[in-house]
Amino acid sequence: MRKKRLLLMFAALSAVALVTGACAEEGGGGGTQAGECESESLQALGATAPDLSSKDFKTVGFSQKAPSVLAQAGRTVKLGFIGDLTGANSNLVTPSNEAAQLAVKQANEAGDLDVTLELVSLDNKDGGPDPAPALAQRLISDAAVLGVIGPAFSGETAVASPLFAEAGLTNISPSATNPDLTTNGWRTFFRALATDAVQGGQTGPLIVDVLGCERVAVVNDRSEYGAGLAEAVAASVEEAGGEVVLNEGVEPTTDYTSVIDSVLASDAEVLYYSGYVAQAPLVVKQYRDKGGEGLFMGGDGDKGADFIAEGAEAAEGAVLTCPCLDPNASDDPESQEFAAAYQEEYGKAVDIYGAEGWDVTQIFIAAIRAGGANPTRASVLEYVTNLSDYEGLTKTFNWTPEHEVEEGEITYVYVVRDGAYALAGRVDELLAE
Amino acid sequence: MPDCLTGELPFRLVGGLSTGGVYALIAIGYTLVYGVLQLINFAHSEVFMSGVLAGAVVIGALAPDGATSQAQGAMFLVAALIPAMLASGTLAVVVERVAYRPLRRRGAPRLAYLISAIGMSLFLSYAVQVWRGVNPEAYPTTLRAQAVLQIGGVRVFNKDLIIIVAAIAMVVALEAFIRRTRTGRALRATAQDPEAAALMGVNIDRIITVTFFIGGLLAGAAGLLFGMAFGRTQWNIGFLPGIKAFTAAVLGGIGSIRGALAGGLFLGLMENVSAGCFGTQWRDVVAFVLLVVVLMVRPTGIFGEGT
Amino acid sequence: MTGTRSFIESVSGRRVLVVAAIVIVALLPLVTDAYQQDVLTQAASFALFAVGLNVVVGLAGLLDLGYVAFWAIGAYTMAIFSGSGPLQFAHLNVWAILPLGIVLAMLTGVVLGIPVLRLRGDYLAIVTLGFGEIIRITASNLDGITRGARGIPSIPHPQIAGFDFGNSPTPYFYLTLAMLIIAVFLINNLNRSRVGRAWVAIREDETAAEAMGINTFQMKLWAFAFGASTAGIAGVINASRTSFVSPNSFQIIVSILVLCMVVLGGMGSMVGPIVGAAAIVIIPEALRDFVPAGVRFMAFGGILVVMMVFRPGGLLPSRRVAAEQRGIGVAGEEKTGVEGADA
Repeated sequence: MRKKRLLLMFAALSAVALVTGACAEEGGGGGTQAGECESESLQALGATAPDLSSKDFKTVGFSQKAPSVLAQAGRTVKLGFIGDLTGANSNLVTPSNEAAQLAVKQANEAGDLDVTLELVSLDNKDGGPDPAPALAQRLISDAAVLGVIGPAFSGETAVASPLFAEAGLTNISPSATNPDLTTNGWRTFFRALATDAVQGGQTGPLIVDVLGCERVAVVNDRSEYGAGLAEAVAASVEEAGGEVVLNEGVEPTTDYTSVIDSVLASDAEVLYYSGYVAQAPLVVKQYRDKGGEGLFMGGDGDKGADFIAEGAEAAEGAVLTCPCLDPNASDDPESQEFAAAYQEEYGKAVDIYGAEGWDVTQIFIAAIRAGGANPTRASVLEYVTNLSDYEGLTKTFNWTPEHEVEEGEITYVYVVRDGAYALAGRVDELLAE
Repeated sequence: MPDCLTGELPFRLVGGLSTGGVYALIAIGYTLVYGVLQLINFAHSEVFMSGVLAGAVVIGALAPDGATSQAQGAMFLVAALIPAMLASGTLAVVVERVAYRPLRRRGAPRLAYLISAIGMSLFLSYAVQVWRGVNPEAYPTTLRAQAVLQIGGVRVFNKDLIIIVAAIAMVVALEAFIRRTRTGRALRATAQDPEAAALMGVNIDRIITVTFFIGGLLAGAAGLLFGMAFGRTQWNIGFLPGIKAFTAAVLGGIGSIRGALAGGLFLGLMENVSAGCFGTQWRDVVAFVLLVVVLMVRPTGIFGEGT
Repeated sequence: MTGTRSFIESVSGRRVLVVAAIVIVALLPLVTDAYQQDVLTQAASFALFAVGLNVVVGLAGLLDLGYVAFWAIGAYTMAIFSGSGPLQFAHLNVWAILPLGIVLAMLTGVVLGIPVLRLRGDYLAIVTLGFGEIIRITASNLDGITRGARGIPSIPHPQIAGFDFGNSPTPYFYLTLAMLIIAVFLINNLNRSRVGRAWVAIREDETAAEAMGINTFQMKLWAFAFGASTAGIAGVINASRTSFVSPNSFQIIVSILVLCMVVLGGMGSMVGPIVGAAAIVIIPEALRDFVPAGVRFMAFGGILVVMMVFRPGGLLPSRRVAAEQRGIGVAGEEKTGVEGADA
């Protein structure tokens, strides 16, 4: 008799759970109701998704010179590349790697180099600092490597760059944004984009003035990049008149329950996750699952294809900033040329940091070209150090004494709409409106 | 009373119990095996992981792009439950056959069992890494978040409720099984006194197999619920929940099923609350500190040893 | 074959073999390139770990799953006391930090051991695992001391008489080798002394050992402390070699890996763990182009299981342990689950 009762109880309980969980009303679930802050912000941004499928790319006389016989002669000179190529954050790195490969290929085909160029790509699956010294050593020991594109992330750059500096090997990072990296006096390290001091510094006015939100919860992933960006964001939010209601760090994990409960308890209007794309979709999904209705924001580390792919509905309406240019959305003919060539080579649109990776590689190629038949690490370093008014896709390159780009105070704002990133504009332009 | 204990508690209650429910279901596997063999089944975390993975594979096969309605989502979950449980249950039995039975035959010292368990855990997790890759895989969306209850100012969401109810329900069912059926009685007898049980005609080998199987079933269910709640599977996803579940089992009194449930829920709650008090970055430390403290101060746990 | 065997087992014979082995190994850098020397240095480093863990697991019979914590202590001592981290109170060089690292590691061993060593085998294992993780997570959270999860870079290399060790592996190889030889020598002496005999007694039957008047608690504490010391040494040297320390290097898998080395090589013997370390570091590197990393670790797991089933003493167990495994004269203390409530 008791057994029967128990079984009945079990059946009843599970039925109740299942039915309540699968209630007939769909779509009206929590998470899609936008808070007041959010609907305002989306209107303010007026974002529209660029229609990539039908865009008419103009291929303006791209290097179609016949490959020179001489291009195969001469010694082989290598460029190194370090980044997460196959790991959980690889969609932030492969575009710049592929852009680099394309640049090298075109340079070899153009035939105006006295040497043969080769790209050596080392995969730091972890994306973190631990494997980086060994990878850096491998490039340093290879005498044919005259320059390094990267490393891609701030943590690995922090530990690899001192080694490169000791060896006199130039490394230019197309994507490492932690501001402290250039404060160490590494003569061989250069950075091709704006830092998180800029990105974070402009986020405060973006949130408070443009989006009209006040209560911000900042969560970082305790990485070199994430912690640095979060610090800048928190400071700028406060300065802009907002309130940082939560400021915590959680190392990458699967279960974000605790921090999300903290965010909910703090009654934040904005959840800013400063971390990488491997984790961002988890955070936003679990946030929405627990009824979080605030605006989800993040930096360039979150802005990968996987954020939308894995985040699905939860990612809709997220606002991400990036110092990176999206060449697909640019009116500049050279950017469009590049985007077309990339599309043709790889069968997909160029993604985050592709243009920056291209620019960095082209700078190295110019340096090697200037060295004639015998470029050396020293000659490359000298060329790069003395770079002046170099016109790249993303910007005109002039270095500050700390090896940052001079014309660098640019942060782009992207919104996730209908399953794609839409460019909403630049922060400075949005502020001016 | 600091705010992290009073003001925040309502927010943290449900989340803590829900995570705790997952721990509880895994903990039962540890507690059952320990009750019968006095062995910490290190490989149980990988049994749990196989449940998470099995769930992902099945749901991914049914609906790669996710469910299009709540009803469909619920259906997928139910459809994936049995395969996940069976996969884990089977794996648990295989682990016993390969890693522990040969040692039993040889009368090996306790250390050998533990090392073999560790080896098995290593083997299984990396086997999955080789098979599925290093990177995490996403769970297709099944249920959309939906508030089902409102208690005061706190909303209780569907997924959390499902986990808590499922955990309690399974424990109740298991207890019924242990108390009512012959196999259950044989299990209790073996746990109390294997020699006497053998003398009474109990097939010890079979009972041990059943023990591992049941533990595996529940870990598989936990795996599916975990995947539903957190949205991901990965080769190394079993380690941390496994350790925490073991902590839960010890907390509640190793060998006791109710203890595993109580310990799991308690641990989940403790973790969440202390994350509020000390900061989220210390959350995992709480489990380990509890583990160490309980083992040193009160190894018999809250409910004491026994089934 | 008795001639060879008795030579090997004779004292002078063994001495000759040991010296010959050391000479051969010391000459290896002459015939290897930088990459290979790097691998050898790592092998030597892990040999230091394995030798230390062997003291705890093989000699005293305590399963320590948090062994990597002692490595962390050594590494962070190097990072912090050289002034590379946020705390700038000291700028010592490697030679001053080495003894400091040893002392701190031993101290940690004692501090961890005191509350923990009264526990039974499995519980001891889990508690040590818990402690290992507590130390790792704490290191990851104490931003002001360890720079948290970001790690401490730019740790200075050793310098001796104006010569900077730099990034080449060769000087580190010799340094680690020297430390290894010293450690093995000292531990071997310890093992042959009263302490070592006490360890054997504890391993074989703790209750009887207590009854014979051995202070088992103190002896176990010594095992922990000495075991920790070699990890401390290796930690200091490694940190100085790679110039970088971060909590991510101190995951449980490392403790398990070192356990694998001890188990495979042979518990209780001096040579066994070194052979195990060399095998587990060098063979996968040699096969690197053929065998992906994941398969490597699968193999380690499989080795542990297979070893336990077929040859629990390892490849080269000490004669005593081999005898134990064969069941000669001594009954193992804890057998299968058929046991009363013995705590």
